[in-house]
Amino acid sequence: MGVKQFLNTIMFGEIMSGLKLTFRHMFKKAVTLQYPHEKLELPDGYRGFIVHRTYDNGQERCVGCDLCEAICPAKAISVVGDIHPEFPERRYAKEYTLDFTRCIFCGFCVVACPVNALAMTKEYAHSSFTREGLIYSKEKMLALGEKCEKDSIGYLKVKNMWEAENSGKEDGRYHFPPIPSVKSGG
Amino acid sequence: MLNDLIAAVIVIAGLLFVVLTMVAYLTYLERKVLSFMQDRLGPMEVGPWGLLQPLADGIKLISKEDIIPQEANKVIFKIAPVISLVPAILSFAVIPFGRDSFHFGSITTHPYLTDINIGMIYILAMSSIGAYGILLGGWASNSKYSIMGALRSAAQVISYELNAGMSIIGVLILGGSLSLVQIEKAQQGGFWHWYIFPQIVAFVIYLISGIAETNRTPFDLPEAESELVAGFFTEYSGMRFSLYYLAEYANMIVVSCVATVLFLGGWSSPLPLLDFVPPVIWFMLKVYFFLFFFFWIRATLPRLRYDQLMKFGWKVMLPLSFANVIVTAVVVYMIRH
Repeated sequence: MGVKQFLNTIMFGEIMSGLKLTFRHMFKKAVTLQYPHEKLELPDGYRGFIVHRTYDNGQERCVGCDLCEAICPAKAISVVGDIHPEFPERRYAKEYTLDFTRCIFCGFCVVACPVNALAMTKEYAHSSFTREGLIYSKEKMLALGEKCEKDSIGYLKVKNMWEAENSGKEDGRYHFPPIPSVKSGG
Repeated sequence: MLNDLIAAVIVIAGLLFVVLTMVAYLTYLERKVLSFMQDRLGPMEVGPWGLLQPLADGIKLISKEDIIPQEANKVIFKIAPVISLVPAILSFAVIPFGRDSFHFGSITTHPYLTDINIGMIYILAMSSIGAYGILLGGWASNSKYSIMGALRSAAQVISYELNAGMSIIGVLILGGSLSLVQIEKAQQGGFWHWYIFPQIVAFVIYLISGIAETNRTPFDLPEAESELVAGFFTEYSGMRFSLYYLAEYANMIVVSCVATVLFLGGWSSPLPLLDFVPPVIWFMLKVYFFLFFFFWIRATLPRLRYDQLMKFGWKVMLPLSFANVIVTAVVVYMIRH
Protein backbone atom coordinates (compact mmCIF):
# COMPACT_ATOMS: atom_id res chain seq x y z
CA MET A 1 0.00 0.00 0.00
CA GLY A 2 1.52 3.30 -1.11
CA VAL A 3 1.61 6.40 1.05
CA LYS A 4 -0.98 8.13 -1.10
CA GLN A 5 -3.37 5.22 -0.89
CA PHE A 6 -2.83 4.95 2.85
CA LEU A 7 -3.64 8.65 3.28
CA ASN A 8 -6.68 8.23 1.09
CA THR A 9 -7.89 5.38 3.30
CA ILE A 10 -7.49 7.12 6.64
CA MET A 11 -9.05 10.32 5.27
CA PHE A 12 -12.03 8.31 3.96
CA GLY A 13 -11.28 9.55 0.44
CA GLU A 14 -13.88 7.46 -1.33
CA ILE A 15 -16.61 8.20 1.18
CA MET A 16 -15.78 11.91 0.98
CA SER A 17 -16.16 11.96 -2.80
CA GLY A 18 -19.51 10.19 -2.38
CA LEU A 19 -20.62 12.72 0.22
CA LYS A 20 -19.57 15.54 -2.09
CA LEU A 21 -21.71 14.13 -4.87
CA THR A 22 -24.84 13.77 -2.74
CA PHE A 23 -24.34 17.24 -1.30
CA ARG A 24 -24.10 18.74 -4.77
CA HIS A 25 -27.32 17.05 -5.73
CA MET A 26 -29.13 18.76 -2.84
CA PHE A 27 -29.03 22.02 -4.79
CA LYS A 28 -30.14 20.61 -8.10
CA LYS A 29 -33.67 21.15 -9.27
CA ALA A 30 -35.96 18.26 -8.45
CA VAL A 31 -37.32 16.34 -11.41
CA THR A 32 -40.58 15.59 -9.62
CA LEU A 33 -43.85 16.47 -11.31
CA GLN A 34 -46.57 17.24 -8.75
CA TYR A 35 -48.95 15.10 -10.73
CA PRO A 36 -52.52 16.00 -9.83
CA HIS A 37 -51.57 19.68 -9.55
CA GLU A 38 -49.34 19.95 -12.59
CA LYS A 39 -49.52 17.72 -15.63
CA LEU A 40 -47.07 16.81 -18.31
CA GLU A 41 -47.38 18.53 -21.68
CA LEU A 42 -48.15 15.54 -23.87
CA PRO A 43 -46.94 15.30 -27.48
CA ASP A 44 -49.53 15.08 -30.26
CA GLY A 45 -48.43 11.53 -31.04
CA TYR A 46 -49.29 10.38 -27.50
CA ARG A 47 -51.06 7.05 -27.61
CA GLY A 48 -53.82 7.39 -25.05
CA PHE A 49 -57.37 6.09 -25.06
CA ILE A 50 -58.77 5.20 -28.49
CA VAL A 51 -61.93 6.97 -29.62
CA HIS A 52 -64.45 6.78 -32.45
CA ARG A 53 -64.68 9.78 -34.74
CA THR A 54 -67.58 11.28 -36.64
CA TYR A 55 -67.90 13.32 -39.79
CA ASP A 56 -68.53 17.02 -39.47
CA ASN A 57 -72.25 16.45 -39.82
CA GLY A 58 -72.23 14.13 -36.81
CA GLN A 59 -72.47 10.89 -38.78
CA GLU A 60 -70.24 8.16 -37.41
CA ARG A 61 -67.38 7.07 -39.63
CA CYS A 62 -67.00 3.41 -38.72
CA VAL A 63 -68.05 1.08 -41.50
CA GLY A 64 -67.66 -2.11 -39.52
CA CYS A 65 -64.95 -3.54 -41.74
CA ASP A 66 -63.27 -5.61 -39.00
CA LEU A 67 -59.75 -4.53 -40.00
CA CYS A 68 -59.00 -3.18 -36.54
CA GLU A 69 -60.15 -6.44 -35.00
CA ALA A 70 -57.94 -8.34 -37.40
CA ILE A 71 -54.79 -6.34 -36.69
CA CYS A 72 -55.22 -5.95 -32.95
CA PRO A 73 -52.30 -7.90 -31.42
CA ALA A 74 -53.99 -8.06 -28.01
CA LYS A 75 -57.34 -9.17 -29.39
CA ALA A 76 -58.96 -6.32 -27.52
CA ILE A 77 -61.40 -5.29 -30.25
CA SER A 78 -64.48 -7.12 -31.35
CA VAL A 79 -66.63 -5.80 -34.16
CA VAL A 80 -69.97 -7.06 -35.37
CA GLY A 81 -70.60 -5.48 -38.77
CA ASP A 82 -74.00 -5.23 -40.38
CA ILE A 83 -75.88 -3.47 -43.16
CA HIS A 84 -77.00 -0.04 -42.10
CA PRO A 85 -80.74 -0.22 -41.36
CA GLU A 86 -81.44 3.08 -43.12
CA PHE A 87 -78.90 3.05 -45.95
CA PRO A 88 -78.74 -0.37 -47.55
CA GLU A 89 -75.67 0.69 -49.58
CA ARG A 90 -73.70 1.23 -46.42
CA ARG A 91 -72.32 -0.97 -43.64
CA TYR A 92 -71.84 -0.04 -40.03
CA ALA A 93 -70.69 -1.61 -36.77
CA LYS A 94 -73.73 -3.01 -35.02
CA GLU A 95 -71.62 -3.75 -31.99
CA TYR A 96 -68.18 -2.44 -31.33
CA THR A 97 -66.35 -3.29 -28.10
CA LEU A 98 -62.85 -2.25 -27.12
CA ASP A 99 -61.56 -3.90 -23.98
CA PHE A 100 -59.13 -1.39 -22.45
CA THR A 101 -58.03 -3.94 -19.88
CA ARG A 102 -56.43 -5.82 -22.77
CA CYS A 103 -55.49 -2.93 -25.05
CA ILE A 104 -51.72 -2.39 -25.28
CA PHE A 105 -52.10 1.07 -26.87
CA CYS A 106 -49.97 0.16 -29.88
CA GLY A 107 -52.00 2.26 -32.31
CA PHE A 108 -52.25 -0.44 -35.01
CA CYS A 109 -56.04 -0.17 -35.20
CA VAL A 110 -55.80 3.52 -36.01
CA VAL A 111 -53.35 2.78 -38.83
CA ALA A 112 -55.52 -0.04 -40.11
CA CYS A 113 -58.73 1.94 -40.21
CA PRO A 114 -59.51 2.88 -43.84
CA VAL A 115 -61.96 5.65 -42.96
CA ASN A 116 -60.08 7.31 -40.09
CA ALA A 117 -62.86 6.34 -37.76
CA LEU A 118 -60.41 5.63 -34.96
CA ALA A 119 -57.88 7.96 -33.38
CA MET A 120 -55.85 8.07 -30.22
CA THR A 121 -56.13 10.85 -27.69
CA LYS A 122 -54.17 12.26 -24.78
CA GLU A 123 -56.62 10.78 -22.30
CA TYR A 124 -54.98 8.35 -19.91
CA ALA A 125 -56.53 8.85 -16.49
CA HIS A 126 -59.56 6.63 -17.04
CA SER A 127 -59.66 4.15 -14.23
CA SER A 128 -62.51 2.07 -12.97
CA PHE A 129 -63.40 -0.02 -9.96
CA THR A 130 -64.85 -2.76 -12.14
CA ARG A 131 -63.61 -4.63 -15.15
CA GLU A 132 -66.76 -3.68 -17.04
CA GLY A 133 -65.95 -0.03 -16.56
CA LEU A 134 -62.97 -0.37 -18.85
CA ILE A 135 -64.72 -2.32 -21.60
CA TYR A 136 -65.86 0.49 -23.88
CA SER A 137 -68.81 0.28 -26.21
CA LYS A 138 -69.09 2.28 -29.42
CA GLU A 139 -71.33 4.84 -27.75
CA LYS A 140 -68.82 5.41 -24.98
CA MET A 141 -65.99 5.80 -27.48
CA LEU A 142 -68.04 8.20 -29.58
CA ALA A 143 -68.75 10.33 -26.53
CA LEU A 144 -65.08 10.36 -25.59
CA GLY A 145 -64.23 11.22 -29.20
CA GLU A 146 -66.52 14.21 -29.09
CA LYS A 147 -64.82 15.37 -25.93
CA CYS A 148 -61.28 15.00 -27.28
CA GLU A 149 -61.79 15.92 -30.91
CA LYS A 150 -58.76 18.21 -30.90
CA ASP A 151 -56.52 15.49 -29.56
CA SER A 152 -57.65 12.96 -32.12
CA ILE A 153 -57.17 15.39 -35.03
CA GLY A 154 -53.70 16.21 -33.69
CA TYR A 155 -52.85 12.54 -33.53
CA LEU A 156 -53.94 11.89 -37.09
CA LYS A 157 -51.99 14.91 -38.30
CA VAL A 158 -48.81 13.74 -36.62
CA LYS A 159 -49.25 10.28 -38.06
CA ASN A 160 -49.67 11.72 -41.62
CA MET A 161 -53.22 10.43 -41.88
CA TRP A 162 -54.92 13.82 -41.94
CA GLU A 163 -53.68 15.22 -45.25
CA ALA A 164 -54.69 12.10 -47.13
CA GLU A 165 -58.22 12.49 -45.89
CA ASN A 166 -58.50 16.21 -46.52
CA SER A 167 -56.39 16.56 -49.65
CA GLY A 168 -59.49 16.73 -51.82
CA LYS A 169 -58.04 14.14 -54.18
CA GLU A 170 -60.45 11.40 -55.08
CA ASP A 171 -57.70 8.78 -55.16
CA GLY A 172 -56.52 9.40 -51.61
CA ARG A 173 -56.52 6.23 -49.64
CA TYR A 174 -58.31 7.82 -46.77
CA HIS A 175 -60.73 9.89 -48.78
CA PHE A 176 -64.12 8.57 -47.83
CA PRO A 177 -66.60 11.43 -47.87
CA PRO A 178 -69.75 11.06 -45.79
CA ILE A 179 -72.97 9.91 -47.41
CA PRO A 180 -74.81 13.11 -48.38
CA SER A 181 -78.30 12.05 -47.33
CA VAL A 182 -78.31 12.19 -43.55
CA LYS A 183 -81.29 11.17 -41.55
CA SER A 184 -79.92 9.46 -38.46
CA GLY A 185 -76.74 10.06 -36.52
CA GLY A 186 -75.82 13.31 -34.86
CA MET B 1 -37.27 21.19 48.28
CA LEU B 2 -40.68 21.87 46.78
CA ASN B 3 -39.16 24.55 44.57
CA ASP B 4 -36.60 22.09 43.27
CA LEU B 5 -39.38 19.64 42.51
CA ILE B 6 -41.37 22.25 40.58
CA ALA B 7 -38.26 23.30 38.68
CA ALA B 8 -37.55 19.66 37.78
CA VAL B 9 -41.12 19.17 36.56
CA ILE B 10 -40.85 22.30 34.40
CA VAL B 11 -37.59 21.09 32.84
CA ILE B 12 -38.95 17.57 32.32
CA ALA B 13 -42.06 18.89 30.62
CA GLY B 14 -40.02 21.22 28.44
CA LEU B 15 -37.51 18.51 27.54
CA LEU B 16 -40.21 16.00 26.68
CA PHE B 17 -42.05 18.52 24.55
CA VAL B 18 -38.94 19.62 22.67
CA VAL B 19 -37.55 16.12 22.24
CA LEU B 20 -40.79 14.55 21.04
CA THR B 21 -41.49 17.41 18.65
CA MET B 22 -37.94 17.19 17.37
CA VAL B 23 -38.30 13.44 16.88
CA ALA B 24 -41.52 13.92 14.93
CA TYR B 25 -40.02 16.57 12.72
CA LEU B 26 -36.79 14.63 12.26
CA THR B 27 -38.77 12.13 10.22
CA TYR B 28 -39.91 15.01 8.03
CA LEU B 29 -36.42 16.48 7.84
CA GLU B 30 -34.93 13.11 6.94
CA ARG B 31 -37.42 12.57 4.15
CA LYS B 32 -36.81 16.05 2.82
CA VAL B 33 -33.01 15.81 2.95
CA LEU B 34 -33.01 12.38 1.35
CA SER B 35 -35.40 13.60 -1.34
CA PHE B 36 -33.35 16.65 -2.19
CA MET B 37 -30.23 14.53 -2.42
CA GLN B 38 -32.05 12.23 -4.83
CA ASP B 39 -33.42 15.14 -6.91
CA ARG B 40 -36.93 14.63 -5.56
CA LEU B 41 -39.26 16.87 -3.57
CA GLY B 42 -40.29 14.63 -0.69
CA PRO B 43 -43.58 15.09 1.20
CA MET B 44 -45.49 18.01 -0.35
CA GLU B 45 -49.19 17.28 0.11
CA VAL B 46 -50.07 17.75 3.80
CA GLY B 47 -49.82 21.43 4.61
CA PRO B 48 -47.49 23.90 2.90
CA TRP B 49 -44.41 22.02 1.72
CA GLY B 50 -45.75 18.97 3.54
CA LEU B 51 -45.05 20.56 6.92
CA LEU B 52 -47.95 18.78 8.62
CA GLN B 53 -46.80 15.36 7.41
CA PRO B 54 -45.52 14.20 10.85
CA LEU B 55 -48.93 15.03 12.31
CA ALA B 56 -50.70 13.03 9.62
CA ASP B 57 -48.28 10.13 10.13
CA GLY B 58 -48.93 10.24 13.86
CA ILE B 59 -52.69 10.15 13.43
CA LYS B 60 -52.37 7.31 10.96
CA LEU B 61 -50.13 5.23 13.24
CA ILE B 62 -52.31 5.76 16.31
CA SER B 63 -55.50 4.81 14.51
CA LYS B 64 -54.01 1.64 13.00
CA GLU B 65 -54.84 -1.80 14.27
CA ASP B 66 -52.41 -3.15 16.84
CA ILE B 67 -51.67 -6.66 15.57
CA ILE B 68 -50.10 -9.17 17.94
CA PRO B 69 -49.05 -12.47 16.37
CA GLN B 70 -50.73 -15.54 17.79
CA GLU B 71 -47.47 -17.32 18.53
CA ALA B 72 -45.81 -14.27 20.08
CA ASN B 73 -44.89 -13.98 23.74
CA LYS B 74 -47.58 -11.42 24.45
CA VAL B 75 -46.23 -9.76 27.58
CA ILE B 76 -42.72 -9.23 26.27
CA PHE B 77 -44.05 -8.32 22.85
CA LYS B 78 -46.08 -5.52 24.39
CA ILE B 79 -43.33 -4.28 26.70
CA ALA B 80 -40.37 -4.40 24.30
CA PRO B 81 -41.03 -1.16 22.39
CA VAL B 82 -41.39 0.68 25.68
CA ILE B 83 -38.06 -0.74 26.88
CA SER B 84 -36.59 0.59 23.67
CA LEU B 85 -38.06 4.09 23.89
CA VAL B 86 -37.88 4.94 27.59
CA PRO B 87 -34.07 4.70 27.99
CA ALA B 88 -33.63 6.75 24.83
CA ILE B 89 -35.66 9.57 26.36
CA LEU B 90 -34.12 9.09 29.82
CA SER B 91 -30.70 9.85 28.34
CA PHE B 92 -31.71 13.46 27.84
CA ALA B 93 -31.75 13.94 31.61
CA VAL B 94 -28.01 14.59 31.84
CA ILE B 95 -27.44 16.53 28.63
CA PRO B 96 -26.74 20.24 29.24
CA PHE B 97 -28.23 22.20 26.37
CA GLY B 98 -27.56 25.76 27.48
CA ARG B 99 -25.63 28.03 29.80
CA ASP B 100 -28.12 30.19 31.64
CA SER B 101 -30.33 29.24 34.53
CA PHE B 102 -33.75 30.86 34.70
CA HIS B 103 -35.36 32.22 37.81
CA PHE B 104 -39.10 32.33 38.37
CA GLY B 105 -39.36 33.91 41.80
CA SER B 106 -37.75 31.39 44.11
CA ILE B 107 -37.76 28.61 41.51
CA THR B 108 -34.52 28.09 39.59
CA THR B 109 -34.45 25.95 36.47
CA HIS B 110 -31.14 24.73 35.08
CA PRO B 111 -30.52 24.08 31.39
CA TYR B 112 -30.22 20.40 32.26
CA LEU B 113 -32.41 18.11 34.29
CA THR B 114 -29.65 16.79 36.54
CA ASP B 115 -25.88 17.05 36.70
CA ILE B 116 -24.84 13.69 38.09
CA ASN B 117 -21.11 13.09 38.31
CA ILE B 118 -21.29 9.91 36.21
CA GLY B 119 -23.26 11.47 33.36
CA MET B 120 -21.33 9.80 30.59
CA ILE B 121 -21.61 6.32 32.10
CA TYR B 122 -25.32 6.94 32.63
CA ILE B 123 -25.78 7.64 28.91
CA LEU B 124 -23.80 4.54 27.92
CA ALA B 125 -25.90 2.47 30.34
CA MET B 126 -29.14 3.83 28.91
CA SER B 127 -28.13 3.09 25.33
CA SER B 128 -27.26 -0.48 26.41
CA ILE B 129 -30.68 -0.94 27.97
CA GLY B 130 -32.25 0.30 24.73
CA ALA B 131 -30.66 -2.65 22.96
CA TYR B 132 -32.71 -4.95 25.21
CA GLY B 133 -35.87 -3.52 23.71
CA ILE B 134 -34.69 -4.54 20.26
CA LEU B 135 -33.48 -7.95 21.43
CA LEU B 136 -36.64 -8.79 23.38
CA GLY B 137 -38.92 -7.46 20.67
CA GLY B 138 -37.20 -9.60 18.07
CA TRP B 139 -37.32 -12.67 20.26
CA ALA B 140 -40.91 -12.24 21.43
CA SER B 141 -42.23 -11.80 17.88
CA ASN B 142 -41.50 -15.50 17.25
CA SER B 143 -40.56 -14.85 13.66
CA LYS B 144 -37.46 -15.71 11.63
CA TYR B 145 -36.84 -12.22 10.39
CA SER B 146 -37.32 -10.68 13.81
CA ILE B 147 -34.93 -13.00 15.57
CA MET B 148 -32.32 -12.53 12.84
CA GLY B 149 -32.60 -8.78 13.20
CA ALA B 150 -32.43 -9.00 16.97
CA LEU B 151 -29.36 -11.23 16.90
CA ARG B 152 -27.60 -8.92 14.49
CA SER B 153 -28.53 -5.97 16.64
CA ALA B 154 -27.15 -7.60 19.77
CA ALA B 155 -23.86 -8.45 18.09
CA GLN B 156 -23.61 -5.01 16.58
CA VAL B 157 -24.34 -3.14 19.78
CA ILE B 158 -21.75 -5.19 21.70
CA SER B 159 -19.11 -4.58 19.03
CA TYR B 160 -19.69 -0.90 18.58
CA GLU B 161 -20.59 0.19 22.08
CA LEU B 162 -17.14 -0.99 23.08
CA ASN B 163 -15.62 1.34 20.50
CA ALA B 164 -17.84 4.22 21.53
CA GLY B 165 -16.93 3.72 25.17
CA MET B 166 -13.22 3.51 24.43
CA SER B 167 -13.27 6.59 22.20
CA ILE B 168 -14.97 8.60 24.91
CA ILE B 169 -12.22 7.81 27.43
CA GLY B 170 -9.81 10.13 25.60
CA VAL B 171 -12.20 13.04 26.12
CA LEU B 172 -12.76 12.07 29.74
CA ILE B 173 -8.99 12.16 30.35
CA LEU B 174 -8.78 15.64 28.85
CA GLY B 175 -11.89 16.94 30.59
CA GLY B 176 -11.07 15.29 33.89
CA SER B 177 -14.69 14.48 34.65
CA LEU B 178 -17.54 12.17 33.72
CA SER B 179 -20.09 14.92 34.14
CA LEU B 180 -21.21 16.36 30.83
CA VAL B 181 -21.59 19.79 32.39
CA GLN B 182 -17.96 19.78 33.52
CA ILE B 183 -16.71 18.53 30.15
CA GLU B 184 -18.64 21.31 28.44
CA LYS B 185 -17.23 23.95 30.78
CA ALA B 186 -13.68 22.76 30.07
CA GLN B 187 -14.12 23.60 26.37
CA GLN B 188 -15.13 27.26 26.70
CA GLY B 189 -13.51 30.19 24.92
CA GLY B 190 -13.31 29.56 21.20
CA PHE B 191 -13.25 26.63 18.83
CA TRP B 192 -9.52 25.91 19.43
CA HIS B 193 -10.45 24.66 22.89
CA TRP B 194 -12.82 22.05 21.50
CA TYR B 195 -11.80 18.44 21.98
CA ILE B 196 -12.37 17.58 18.34
CA PHE B 197 -8.83 18.72 17.51
CA PRO B 198 -6.79 16.75 20.08
CA GLN B 199 -9.26 13.87 19.83
CA ILE B 200 -9.92 13.73 16.09
CA VAL B 201 -9.43 9.95 16.01
CA ALA B 202 -11.83 9.48 18.90
CA PHE B 203 -14.29 11.82 17.20
CA VAL B 204 -14.34 9.77 14.01
CA ILE B 205 -14.61 6.51 15.95
CA TYR B 206 -17.41 7.87 18.11
CA LEU B 207 -19.33 9.11 15.08
CA ILE B 208 -19.05 5.77 13.28
CA SER B 209 -20.00 3.87 16.44
CA GLY B 210 -22.90 6.26 16.98
CA ILE B 211 -24.27 5.53 13.55
CA ALA B 212 -23.86 1.81 14.21
CA GLU B 213 -25.51 2.01 17.63
CA THR B 214 -28.57 3.77 16.31
CA ASN B 215 -28.89 1.17 13.52
CA ARG B 216 -28.60 3.75 10.78
CA THR B 217 -27.37 3.14 7.25
CA PRO B 218 -24.69 1.93 6.46
CA PHE B 219 -24.97 -0.10 9.68
CA ASP B 220 -28.69 -0.84 9.48
CA LEU B 221 -28.27 -4.62 9.39
CA PRO B 222 -30.77 -5.22 12.22
CA GLU B 223 -33.55 -3.74 10.09
CA ALA B 224 -32.14 -4.41 6.63
CA GLU B 225 -35.28 -4.15 4.58
CA SER B 226 -33.85 -5.87 1.53
CA GLU B 227 -32.92 -8.95 3.53
CA LEU B 228 -35.05 -9.07 6.68
CA VAL B 229 -38.29 -7.28 5.72
CA ALA B 230 -37.95 -4.88 8.65
CA GLY B 231 -35.66 -6.82 10.98
CA PHE B 232 -36.61 -6.85 14.63
CA PHE B 233 -39.90 -4.95 14.19
CA THR B 234 -41.24 -6.98 11.30
CA GLU B 235 -44.25 -8.16 13.31
CA TYR B 236 -45.02 -4.81 14.89
CA SER B 237 -47.74 -2.51 13.67
CA GLY B 238 -49.51 0.67 14.61
CA MET B 239 -48.46 2.48 17.75
CA ARG B 240 -45.88 -0.10 18.86
CA PHE B 241 -44.15 0.15 15.52
CA SER B 242 -44.02 3.90 15.88
CA LEU B 243 -42.54 3.54 19.37
CA TYR B 244 -39.55 1.75 17.83
CA TYR B 245 -39.30 4.51 15.29
CA LEU B 246 -39.43 7.17 17.98
CA ALA B 247 -36.72 5.29 19.87
CA GLU B 248 -34.48 5.22 16.82
CA TYR B 249 -34.81 8.94 16.23
CA ALA B 250 -34.50 9.78 19.93
CA ASN B 251 -31.29 7.74 20.00
CA MET B 252 -30.04 9.69 17.03
CA ILE B 253 -30.62 12.93 18.90
CA VAL B 254 -28.87 11.54 21.99
CA VAL B 255 -25.83 10.51 19.96
CA SER B 256 -25.75 13.91 18.27
CA CYS B 257 -26.07 15.71 21.62
CA VAL B 258 -23.28 13.64 23.17
CA ALA B 259 -21.02 14.20 20.18
CA THR B 260 -21.76 17.91 20.44
CA VAL B 261 -21.00 18.06 24.13
CA LEU B 262 -17.89 15.89 24.04
CA PHE B 263 -16.22 17.10 20.87
CA LEU B 264 -17.72 20.42 19.74
CA GLY B 265 -17.88 22.24 23.07
CA GLY B 266 -21.62 21.94 23.59
CA TRP B 267 -23.27 25.34 23.78
CA SER B 268 -20.05 27.35 23.54
CA SER B 269 -19.70 29.68 20.58
CA PRO B 270 -16.84 29.00 18.15
CA LEU B 271 -15.42 32.54 18.49
CA PRO B 272 -15.57 34.75 21.61
CA LEU B 273 -16.98 37.65 19.57
CA LEU B 274 -20.00 35.51 18.63
CA ASP B 275 -21.00 35.22 22.30
CA PHE B 276 -24.08 37.41 21.79
CA VAL B 277 -25.85 34.49 20.09
CA PRO B 278 -27.77 32.53 22.76
CA PRO B 279 -25.93 29.34 23.79
CA VAL B 280 -29.01 27.22 23.09
CA ILE B 281 -28.85 28.27 19.44
CA TRP B 282 -25.24 27.14 19.16
CA PHE B 283 -26.12 23.85 20.78
CA MET B 284 -29.02 23.24 18.41
CA LEU B 285 -26.93 24.22 15.40
CA LYS B 286 -24.27 21.67 16.29
CA VAL B 287 -26.82 18.96 17.05
CA TYR B 288 -28.58 19.57 13.76
CA PHE B 289 -25.25 19.42 11.97
CA PHE B 290 -24.78 15.89 13.26
CA LEU B 291 -28.36 14.92 12.47
CA PHE B 292 -27.91 16.25 8.97
CA PHE B 293 -24.71 14.24 8.75
CA PHE B 294 -26.65 11.09 9.64
CA PHE B 295 -29.10 11.73 6.79
CA TRP B 296 -26.26 12.65 4.47
CA ILE B 297 -24.46 9.38 5.18
CA ARG B 298 -27.70 7.50 4.64
CA ALA B 299 -28.17 9.11 1.25
CA THR B 300 -24.61 8.25 0.24
CA LEU B 301 -23.51 4.86 1.46
CA PRO B 302 -24.87 1.36 0.88
CA ARG B 303 -25.22 -1.18 3.67
CA LEU B 304 -22.16 -3.05 4.91
CA ARG B 305 -21.91 -6.80 4.63
CA TYR B 306 -22.17 -8.50 8.01
CA ASP B 307 -18.61 -9.86 8.11
CA GLN B 308 -17.27 -6.50 6.96
CA LEU B 309 -19.13 -4.85 9.80
CA MET B 310 -17.62 -7.20 12.37
CA LYS B 311 -14.15 -7.02 10.85
CA PHE B 312 -14.26 -3.23 10.78
CA GLY B 313 -15.48 -3.02 14.37
CA TRP B 314 -13.07 -5.46 15.98
CA LYS B 315 -9.97 -5.30 13.80
CA VAL B 316 -9.84 -1.63 12.87
CA MET B 317 -11.85 0.52 15.26
CA LEU B 318 -11.08 -1.25 18.51
CA PRO B 319 -7.23 -1.21 18.15
CA LEU B 320 -7.45 2.41 17.01
CA SER B 321 -9.51 3.46 20.00
CA PHE B 322 -7.17 1.60 22.38
CA ALA B 323 -4.20 3.34 20.79
CA ASN B 324 -6.01 6.65 21.13
CA VAL B 325 -6.59 6.09 24.84
CA ILE B 326 -2.95 5.15 25.47
CA VAL B 327 -1.52 8.05 23.46
CA THR B 328 -3.86 10.55 25.10
CA ALA B 329 -3.06 9.25 28.58
CA VAL B 330 0.70 9.41 28.00
CA VAL B 331 0.60 12.90 26.48
CA VAL B 332 -1.66 14.29 29.20
CA TYR B 333 0.57 12.75 31.88
CA MET B 334 3.72 14.24 30.31
CA ILE B 335 2.14 17.71 30.04
CA ARG B 336 0.86 17.76 33.59
CA HIS B 337 4.13 16.57 35.14
